[in-house]
Amino acid sequence: MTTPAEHHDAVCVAGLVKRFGGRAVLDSVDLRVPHGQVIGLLGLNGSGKSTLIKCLLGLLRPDEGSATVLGTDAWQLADGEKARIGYVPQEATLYPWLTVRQTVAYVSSFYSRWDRAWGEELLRRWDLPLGHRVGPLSVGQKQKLALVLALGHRPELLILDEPVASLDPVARRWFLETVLETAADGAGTVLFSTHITSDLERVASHVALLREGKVTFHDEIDVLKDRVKRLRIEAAADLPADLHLPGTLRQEIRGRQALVTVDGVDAALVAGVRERFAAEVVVDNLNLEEIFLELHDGEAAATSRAR
Amino acid sequence: MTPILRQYALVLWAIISRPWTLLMLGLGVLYVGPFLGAWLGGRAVPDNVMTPVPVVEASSGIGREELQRSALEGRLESVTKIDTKAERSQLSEYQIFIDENGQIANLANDGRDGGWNVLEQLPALEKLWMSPPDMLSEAGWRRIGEHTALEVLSLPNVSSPDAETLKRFPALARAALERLPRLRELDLRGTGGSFELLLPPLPKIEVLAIGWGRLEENLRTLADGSPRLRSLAIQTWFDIGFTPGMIESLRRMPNLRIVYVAGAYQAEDEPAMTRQVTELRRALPGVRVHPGTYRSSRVWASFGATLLGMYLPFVFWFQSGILLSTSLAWMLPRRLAPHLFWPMALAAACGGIIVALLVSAGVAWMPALTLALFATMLAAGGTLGEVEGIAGRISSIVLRVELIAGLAGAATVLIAPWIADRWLSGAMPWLSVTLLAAVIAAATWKLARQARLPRIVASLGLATPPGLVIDATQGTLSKQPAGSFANWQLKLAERGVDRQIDRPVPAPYAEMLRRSQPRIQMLLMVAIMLVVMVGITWVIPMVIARGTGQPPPPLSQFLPGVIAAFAWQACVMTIAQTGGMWVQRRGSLVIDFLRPVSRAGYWRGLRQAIARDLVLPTALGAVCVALALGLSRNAGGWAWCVACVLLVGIFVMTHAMILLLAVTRWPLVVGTLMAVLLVAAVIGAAVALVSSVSRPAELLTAFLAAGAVLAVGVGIRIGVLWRLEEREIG
Repeated sequence: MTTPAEHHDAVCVAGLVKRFGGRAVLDSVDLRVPHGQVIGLLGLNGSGKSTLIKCLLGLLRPDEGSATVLGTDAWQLADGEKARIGYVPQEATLYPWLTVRQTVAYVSSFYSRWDRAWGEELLRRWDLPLGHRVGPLSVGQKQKLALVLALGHRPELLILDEPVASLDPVARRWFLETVLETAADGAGTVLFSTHITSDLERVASHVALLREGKVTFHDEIDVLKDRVKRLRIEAAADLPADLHLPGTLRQEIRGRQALVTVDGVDAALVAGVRERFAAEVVVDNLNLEEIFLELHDGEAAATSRAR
Repeated sequence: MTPILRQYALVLWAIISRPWTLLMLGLGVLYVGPFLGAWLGGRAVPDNVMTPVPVVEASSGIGREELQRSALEGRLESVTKIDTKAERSQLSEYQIFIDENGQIANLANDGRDGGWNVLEQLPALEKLWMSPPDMLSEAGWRRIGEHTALEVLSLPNVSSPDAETLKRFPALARAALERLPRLRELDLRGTGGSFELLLPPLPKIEVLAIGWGRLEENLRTLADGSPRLRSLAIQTWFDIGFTPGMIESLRRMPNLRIVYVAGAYQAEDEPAMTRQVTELRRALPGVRVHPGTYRSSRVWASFGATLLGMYLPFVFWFQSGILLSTSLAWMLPRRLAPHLFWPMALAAACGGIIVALLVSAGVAWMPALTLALFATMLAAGGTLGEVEGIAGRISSIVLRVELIAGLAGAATVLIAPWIADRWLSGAMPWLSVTLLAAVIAAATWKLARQARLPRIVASLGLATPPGLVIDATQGTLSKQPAGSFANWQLKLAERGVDRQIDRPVPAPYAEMLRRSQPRIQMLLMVAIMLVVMVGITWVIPMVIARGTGQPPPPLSQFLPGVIAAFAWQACVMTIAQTGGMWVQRRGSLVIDFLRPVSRAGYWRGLRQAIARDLVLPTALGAVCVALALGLSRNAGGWAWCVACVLLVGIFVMTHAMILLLAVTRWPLVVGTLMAVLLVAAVIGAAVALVSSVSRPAELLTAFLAAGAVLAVGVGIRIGVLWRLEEREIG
């Protein structure tokens, strides 16, 4: 049974748990993606991004909790819902014995609303050799073809599982433009998993950070950028070994100087530091990659300190 | 361990640890097991019995059942050919009667008992074949003489029912033969009482087989009154020789082309027969003189030993080629490369065993060496087929000539084993030298090319050795020359897929799934196999007929056996290809699940698609079983029931295993298990089938075995399908 709010969401995950051999790869994940949103899933290897995507596609069955896609339980997706979803996996698993033309013709025959003109436009744009067999194509070419196959029926929900890792910079640019174009159509919701944060930053409006099977942050990228900042502190006297600032992700202290990354920076915090340490404080904005690194390195360091 | 030893050990481990190797070794049990079991059990060890070479034309006559039908339908006047051993039941000498109720009756004596003798109503009878345990009574000889239209009469080893008839045989037979003016072919070897037979003039005789008794007089009669005689078989004895009178008569026969001298009935008599043959060859320079008996057990033992020795080296040679596509190739030393060392070592071991087996079976050393070399080196260089350039062409020619030679050899064994035995016994020295030289040359060439294969692969810019089957899916073959056979195959497959994809939509999901799979290549391969096998089987009799001067044996006589063998091979091949095809699709099946199809529809479609892909192998298997049962004279209705149960059991098992193989997370484990189970099931099926045919008393055991195969198949199916829709994917 779905709630009215879930009907407005392309993806709704609540309390999702997935275990492999007793180990929880996803641990009470909650995530809501409204229609039309472009959201990036960010996390280290093994953080559970691909498992979450497989649960959303109905490939894996959650042990606990629920995963709803386009208003339907992901495990029970019917042909109608699947026709509204596009998917590009990490590694394009195509039919090596078919030519590019045959592959597109074959896949398109499954979809009643396949947009032939759009498919041809994508093929032309990415310069895919129609008469060539898929087997000998480069990894990048295969990935482009997989994207054509995922977009040709103009899906309402596009799920991309680290699709650009094997693409060269030019192809990545084209790829991102296409994703933006899809999102700009209005109906398109894009769930985008990647390691390349700069790409995510260019495309996604929202981000969900996964860490050890849990969503540690889920909001707009700008909100994240507003929350996580780096303080450059220069005090009049030597600073203590630990500044004990709330939300500290990482701190590096050398004599009178310190670099502290904090989750939840506001004016009061900055004023408090100035007052406590008689210091000059400069607040640096971080890009998504820096935030990602700080979040993971900082927490790792904190964990190591606790031990 | 020194580095060089580590390299050798590593390559050996790489060969034997590959899943394909394990699978092929598992399948090999299917081929090697029965033969080895038979040999160790003493059933395949050649016996000493010599078999007469067929001289008159092969039987094509009808038997008791067809004769009965003809009698009941009033068609007896049109019957021209009878074979008393045809069909399933013995048609004993002139003892078939139709009683007043239209039922057939066998009478032990010559009484009429209210019925009428069918065989007296055959005015058009032209050909008659009789063989033991048939006997010819006085009345029988008289009736033979009444069939004045007889052209072919074959009575080898047919005896007389009593001593009195035996005593009167010369007179009875001569009287009968005198009344057969149209007789063209006559076989009287070992016929009871023929020792004293004085042949009458046989003006139209062309093919004749006679015994040693009164030979000098009979040869004189033939020289004087049988100008058309072209083929003569003489049953001699190991300690006799040809007299000048006999030689003189033989020389006077104007059309005599070939003489068979049968002087050996046990293997130890062979040297004596060879001496007689040599003596007659010297005396008759313009006539081909051959042994008149052969050891069929030697032929079959050689055939089996060759197949046995072929299998293991094949697996290793193929792996040797595959290994060259990996980075392992670049650490191989230049000389005595490990990728050649292990297959060569195995080939030498298997070759030694083959030679030992064959020599112990009475095969001359040169043919034994030829067969051993051919068998163990056949698969060497199997990956060289499509290399471009002159060297590649030579390799292609070598591989194709070897294939054709192998098929021709197998066909000769099936159709004319006496010719194969002549070569095996060392009686064809020139052929032996030529064949040995040819296999040495072929093996040397292939070894040289295989040694260079790493460089060949690198120079072509390929990732895998050319010519591999796997290239068809990996796309390497797309680099083939425009006019090559491989390229033509690819184009054909491409057009086949085009046609499939262009079919109307929407269509059932199973049908849609199958549209991406090229199947025309499999059909093409089956068709080519059929054409080649039947073609060679058709050509060989022609060649034999030309060589012996006799009409070729009718195609219908051996074609069913050839097609049954073909169907078996094609069945195994297509099952392997179907399984391989679905294994290749394992990755793409995840994407196929994401097409617009429900979970239930996906699993249903996958099951149906695999089942439809198994239609061809199942049909081939059914053809094989049906022909095998049809050829057997003892296969009753129960045997057919056993066969049906077995076929259903193996189909169910194969279907479930391929489905599991396509979706399991442990394909290696499942694949190995599948091969082992299938091999066990097929061996069980073969045992059950043979039992149901050859030992009716063990019918219950056969049914139990068939039931066990079916139960295992159904059990696996239930296990695989259990909560299938709940299964996670990928």
